[in-house]
Amino acid sequence: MLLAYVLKRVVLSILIIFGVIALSYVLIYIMPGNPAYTWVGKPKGPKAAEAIQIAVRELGLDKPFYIQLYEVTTRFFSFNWGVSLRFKQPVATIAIRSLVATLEALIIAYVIAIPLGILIGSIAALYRSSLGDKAIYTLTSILIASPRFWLAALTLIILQALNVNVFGRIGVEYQPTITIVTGSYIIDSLISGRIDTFLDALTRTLPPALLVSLYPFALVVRIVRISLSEKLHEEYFRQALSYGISGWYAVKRYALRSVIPVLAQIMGITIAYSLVDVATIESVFGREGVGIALAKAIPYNDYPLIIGLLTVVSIAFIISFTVADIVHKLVDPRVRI
Amino acid sequence: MIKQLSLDSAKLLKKSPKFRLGFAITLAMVFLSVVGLIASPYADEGWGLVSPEALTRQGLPPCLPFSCPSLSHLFGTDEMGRDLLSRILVGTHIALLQVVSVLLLSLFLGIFLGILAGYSNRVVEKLLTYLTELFMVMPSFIVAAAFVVVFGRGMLTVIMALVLTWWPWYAKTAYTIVRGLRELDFIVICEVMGASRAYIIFKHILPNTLPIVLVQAIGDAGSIAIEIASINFLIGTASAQSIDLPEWGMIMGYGLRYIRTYWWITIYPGTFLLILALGLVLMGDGLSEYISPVLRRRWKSWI
Amino acid sequence: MDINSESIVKAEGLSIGYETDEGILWAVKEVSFEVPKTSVFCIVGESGSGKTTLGNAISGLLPPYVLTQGYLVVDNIVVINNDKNNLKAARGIAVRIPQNPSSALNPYLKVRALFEDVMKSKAKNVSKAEVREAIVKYLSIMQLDEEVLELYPYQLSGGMAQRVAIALALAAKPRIIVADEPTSNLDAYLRSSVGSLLKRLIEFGITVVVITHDIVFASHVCNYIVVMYGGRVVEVGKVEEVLSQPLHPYTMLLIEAATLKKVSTNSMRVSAIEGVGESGCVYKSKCPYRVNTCQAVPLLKYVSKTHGVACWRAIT
Repeated sequence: MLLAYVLKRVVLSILIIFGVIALSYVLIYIMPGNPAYTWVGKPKGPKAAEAIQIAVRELGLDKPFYIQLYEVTTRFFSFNWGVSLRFKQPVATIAIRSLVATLEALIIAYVIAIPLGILIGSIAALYRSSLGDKAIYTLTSILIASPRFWLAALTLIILQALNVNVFGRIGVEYQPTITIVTGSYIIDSLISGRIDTFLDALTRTLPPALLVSLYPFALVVRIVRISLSEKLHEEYFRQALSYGISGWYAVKRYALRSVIPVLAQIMGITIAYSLVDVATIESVFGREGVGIALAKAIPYNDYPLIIGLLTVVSIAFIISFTVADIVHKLVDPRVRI
Repeated sequence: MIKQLSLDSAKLLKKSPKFRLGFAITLAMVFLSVVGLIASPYADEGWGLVSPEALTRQGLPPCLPFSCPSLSHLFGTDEMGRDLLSRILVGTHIALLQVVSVLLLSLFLGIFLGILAGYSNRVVEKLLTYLTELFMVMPSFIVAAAFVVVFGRGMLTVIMALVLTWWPWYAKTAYTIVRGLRELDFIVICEVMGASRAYIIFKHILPNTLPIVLVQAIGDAGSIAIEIASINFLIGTASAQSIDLPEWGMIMGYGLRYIRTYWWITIYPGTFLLILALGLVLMGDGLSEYISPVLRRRWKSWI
Repeated sequence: MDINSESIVKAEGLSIGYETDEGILWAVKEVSFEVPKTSVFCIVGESGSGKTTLGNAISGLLPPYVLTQGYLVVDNIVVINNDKNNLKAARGIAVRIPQNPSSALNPYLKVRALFEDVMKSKAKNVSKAEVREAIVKYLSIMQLDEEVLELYPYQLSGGMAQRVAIALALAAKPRIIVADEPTSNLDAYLRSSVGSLLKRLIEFGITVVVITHDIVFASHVCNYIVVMYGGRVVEVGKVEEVLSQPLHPYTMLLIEAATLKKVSTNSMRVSAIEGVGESGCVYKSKCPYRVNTCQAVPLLKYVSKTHGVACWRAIT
């Protein structure tokens, strides 16, 4: 029963979210060293002792354990995650804003990578052992082995040499022209009806997104190449050929269909790995997403922000894993009904 | 088991051109790391020391086809004047050490917990599967950042963070295998005959689980190398002071702020990382192709 | 072979092989026969006899890396001409019915969709009404309800799945239907109905080639029979001829084993296998009548217009 499975997965996801909260508790309270000291950013100097005292009260370290846990949970769900030491703003706001910026690039990257990857992977599978296939395979190996942030640095240098400026998420002159609704400049500019801003934001997002798409693209090509080659030997595919069904139509309907479940599941997992790429490429291109937020937090020992980002990104992962898993089950009619 | 492993490796080297190439590249890297440790031109600078003499040659460009400012600094110098080639050479052993540590530690932890989850009572099983899912969800680089704040910068911090995020993948594989094995008759027979659990695990379950997870780990080696470097890259960009430890990713990350002027600081270590990762990826590919008979079949278009 | 009606499939000196690590493995060795139009033609043999490969060759399902020699002509299309081959050409004209129908139907599509796909591949612009009409016709021939159209293949029983597979084959409007081991995966009581179904197919002008190891089934269903062993044809002819007067020791053995009645007069001599040689009669290691001449490959000689055998002993 599909519905039962979906429910089971959703319940598990919620339990994992609680696990994430518990883990953040562990990371705050049970790490070596004085938690309050870490929480206020390891201060030094005259005002330090006072700051630590404030933190002790804020974190509730002077209260019994079960009250602490209760407070952590209520604080989490009321989005009161502390104040960022670096940005002097609520952690929740910064964390979600950074996540939106990162997701922008990530989603565009995957939208490019998956269809293109399926196409190239199918071609490789259909013409296995040909020169084209070997070339495609070599390309995927190189892409997987290349440090994406290094490619980003190279791209930046080349673009700068060509006097093309794609730094940041939006041009300074365009910033006041739109109202922020979702936090995504691309979407907000469309909502505000400013096409020029939209184009600017889009052009600045494309190079990073393309670089991020390199890894999932290579991975999809590999998976489709092997999976499809296998499916092309499946009994029901050969039978379809015998009946006279042929060409791309046969490949699409009879072979590719069964590649989708595995692909969906793996893509859900790949997003976790890609995120490191997004973070680093963001740093290179100056996009204020999770990567730069983290990079700015570290030198300030901005522990609240780091934990906030951890929570937000983990939840994004949970959602992505669950969705991928459900899609994986959805495509197979043997599970439905 | 060691003898079997070496026999298999020899066969693999003979049969798979991919594995041969990957192995050769990795071996070259190991050789380079040894060179870095005993014979790099400016060893002190390689390890981070800034001599007064170095400060006189800050930001020297590398030797390119048509211009070579200094033959003794083939790759130029960094912002503090340290010879980049030496830095990269010393950094080779760090890169290798990091990959090996992460792999070994997460393999050990993953297989241990995976077998435990698959071969214990339901409570332990449910608990461990939950933990596996939980840690799978953790983003490695953010955990690494948290560790850096708490434990300070250093190789160990990043390795710890990565082990915590990679062990679930191996645990999951091991768990699936063990669950499958449990159903098989020969395990049931052993239990009925009174064999202790430890005996069954070491004699029957482990030998069946270890190879498969090992192949998966070797396949991951390249990606792990890049992930380690990426996290260190982020830490490098966040660094306020110059980096001592010549970790490739950190050098590149710190060098990002000089990308317009001293671009070689970020670019040159990256090439070495690419080569190392390529060697690892090729080895992993060669290995999986060798293992899976399906992949070895001759193929041609059916359509 | 000299037959009255034209032949729709003609094989001459046909050999099909695969490259392996140890050299070339020939699955079919120098096979020659003709399949008369609108007949039920059986290829009988055990596993490894090459019958499945032969069936695949006729229905266009050989993998592209095969090595070929000799000739194979299917419905006037030259499929194999020594090393030049056009392996896919016969697809749609010679349609195969699978051995295991449940795994041969796309699990992601409903039966109706399968029918539509098959019919669309024959004629691009069929109207919906024509398609529906045709589907109903094919279903009724196979005694299937219209309700089966809304099911997914995993919901069909073995027997139903096979009838759907045959109906789909009919929808492809083929000249030849190759039935690959039609009885292996079925319960015994279904065997006779499948047999009569296959015989009925001739009424539609279709030639039926049945690949089977079950000689009893062949005796009830087929008009012509070819017995294969080790990739070679050992005996060929009309079913009545071959079964009443088997000339090859292997045929005799098959009939004996199936009917549990002694046909030959000599007892079986168990002999040591003198090395698996490619040379000589392919049956010599198991043959109780083996003599020195069997070191050479016996040629297929015809004792009547239709009955042929490849055995030195039979050709006195």
